Amino acid sequence: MTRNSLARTLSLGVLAVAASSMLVACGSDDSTATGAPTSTTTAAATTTEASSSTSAAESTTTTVAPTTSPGEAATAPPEQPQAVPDDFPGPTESQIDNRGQRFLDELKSKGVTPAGNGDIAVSTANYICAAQAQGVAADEITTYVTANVGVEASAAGTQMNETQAQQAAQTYIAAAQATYCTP
Amino acid sequence: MAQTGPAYTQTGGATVTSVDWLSDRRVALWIQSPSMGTPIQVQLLLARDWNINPQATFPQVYMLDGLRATDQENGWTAETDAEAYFADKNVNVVLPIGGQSSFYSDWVDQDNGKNYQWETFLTKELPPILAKDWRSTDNRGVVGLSMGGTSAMFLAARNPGFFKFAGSLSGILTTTSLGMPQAIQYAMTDAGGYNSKAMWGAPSNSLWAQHDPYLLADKLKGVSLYISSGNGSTGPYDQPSPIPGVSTNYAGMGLEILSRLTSQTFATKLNQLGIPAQVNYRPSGTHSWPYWQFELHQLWPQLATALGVEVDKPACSVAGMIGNASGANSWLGPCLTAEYNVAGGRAQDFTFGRVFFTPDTGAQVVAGAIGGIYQGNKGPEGALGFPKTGEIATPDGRGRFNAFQNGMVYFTPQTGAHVVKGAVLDEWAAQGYEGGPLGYPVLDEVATPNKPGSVQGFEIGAIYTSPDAGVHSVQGMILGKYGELGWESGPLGFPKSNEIGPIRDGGRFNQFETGNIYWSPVSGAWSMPYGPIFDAWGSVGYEGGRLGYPTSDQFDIDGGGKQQNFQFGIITVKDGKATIAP
Repeated sequence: MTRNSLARTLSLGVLAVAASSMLVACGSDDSTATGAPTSTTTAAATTTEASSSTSAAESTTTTVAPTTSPGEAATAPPEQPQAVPDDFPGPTESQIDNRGQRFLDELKSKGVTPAGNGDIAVSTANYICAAQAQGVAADEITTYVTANVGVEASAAGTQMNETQAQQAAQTYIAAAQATYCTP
Repeated sequence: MAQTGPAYTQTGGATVTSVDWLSDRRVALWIQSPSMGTPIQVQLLLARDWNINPQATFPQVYMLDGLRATDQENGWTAETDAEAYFADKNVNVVLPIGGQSSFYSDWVDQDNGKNYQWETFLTKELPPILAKDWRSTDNRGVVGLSMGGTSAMFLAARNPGFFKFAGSLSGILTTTSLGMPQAIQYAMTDAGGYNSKAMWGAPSNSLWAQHDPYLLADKLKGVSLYISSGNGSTGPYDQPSPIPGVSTNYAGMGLEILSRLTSQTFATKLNQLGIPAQVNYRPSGTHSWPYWQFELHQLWPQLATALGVEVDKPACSVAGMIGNASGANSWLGPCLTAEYNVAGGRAQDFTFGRVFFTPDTGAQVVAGAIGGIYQGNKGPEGALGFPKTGEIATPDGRGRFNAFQNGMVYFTPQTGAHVVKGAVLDEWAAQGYEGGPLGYPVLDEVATPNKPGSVQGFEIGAIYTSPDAGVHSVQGMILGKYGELGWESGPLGFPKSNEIGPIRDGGRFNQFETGNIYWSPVSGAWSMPYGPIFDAWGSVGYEGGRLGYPTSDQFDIDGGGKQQNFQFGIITVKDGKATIAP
């Protein structure tokens, strides 16, 4: 089951139940079919959970995972991921495989040096390939990648104009297509 | 509670139009927002000590949603364990609902039928309501994911002193860097088809800069800050695509990369300004809820410290009769409070419900939607009194109920939970409760508006009470005709009988104060006011006689007088004299 935010819209539509719609008679051998019981009440839609009121099955003895000095904040933001608590839901190591390395090498050969160890650049290649595979319009992909490049530039204190950013974005996209979008 | 009483007219001028208790400590407020001109739903998860300490006030945590916020439920309760997680935390959690693609800001234009003025609502209109009616202090924190992370930061910066803590989980923390307004536009197109120009004007408009966390960073001095982000690489919660290591959630990947890069830029700026922040970059993670649930758990100790509440729930224990009841219902989860006095009895609160005790009623569990209705009726201090039973499943398997000293509460997933008490309960019980002709309650009992009495709606009909006419039910098509005629305010008045029948051809009728309504499968439902036509019909044997059932109501005829049609004839009345034909 996909748990991403995209799926949520689909699952929520059924939750709001207007009580008034429940007045439809169901299969009784009474006199009739339908009827609204009163002129005087309006049923407000609620989001009462559809499950039985005793649905709470899980315990809540959640352990609070350790953080770096709770209540106090670090002054120097880390450049790279720190060790994560063991209940982190994703992979705990960012591995750049051969394909990712080929992509980074290709960027370098075109004069683009990504920040840090390159894992964000590899994620960008992932995004480019996934979006293209799903038929996302080239304009949209270019826009996202351009914004990536723009932020990276401002983070690095590099002056970059719009044309330069778009050119860098095209370099990313071409490099991803050449080295990353096929297994 | 807030749902009654005079309209609220202090600063902000927002009014609460409805209060729905969803469980014993989860409540939905419908608030008429003057700035947005529409009702806005805000749900609250009330603090752990809400009941044990009825005079206490509590800090607040605003939980902001993402771009795909729905009008049904805040994503934090819909998609994460936030409700259970906060159950033992001593803060009031504030969950605004709606605001898809809004960035919780004041928009310059309407768009998509929405007049977004969220910043005004959240910072001006909502606070007086929460302070006055919901025991909330002005000690606040804010946590948001994605768009909500952006909002958490700029709302804290733009409203100095309003939030003591701001957490951005995968937030977009620059809005004006090269290409960013265009990327935000794509994200808003993707989430509901909104136009960013309606939000802050064209990218050159200074409103973009006025909502840019990066440019506002110096205003965040003194706010406890938490910033987290993944890097867009996929994990176990992402559906794999045909390409290894590549998720199908391309939109989530794109946003997470932007979030990571902008969070880094923002954190670097904070560092340059000497503003401390807890910054967590994660080694993987897309733009999705499991990661945000994880971060919520991570940030809580810092949030709790900033708000001055304890991180961990104080120890509590269970004993005696309440201990026996909670032990027999292990789904209640751990205790949240000690045992305490309430309304002449004892109570103890648990993660998923409450246990009440008096010597007469014993220790009984009340939970879930039934617990919400009980709480909305002021719990043991209200009209229902203490529970006499725990939650019991109905024989048909559809519903559940608790019996209380002065009434019952019935729940089904389809009908919700409703109180049935007093004379209505006596009549409903006499007819066989939910197994009788009326089925489950679908509405609460309400006073009839124009004359003394009350009515409660059930699945197949309604029960009316009247000081003069007594307590009777009306069902189905007869109820439909009754409604057509104006219910109890119409010419027939209140019912004087339940449905009577079957009579001829499987027909039925109800007696009302000034007439009857008859129904049969072939003739339909029609009213028979008492008077000359009714008497004439009676003189030939009512529906059992040669005229059969009525097939119309009474109507005026040319030249004065009235007529009513029947299956096998008509009756007219003129100058008080009735004539039957044929």
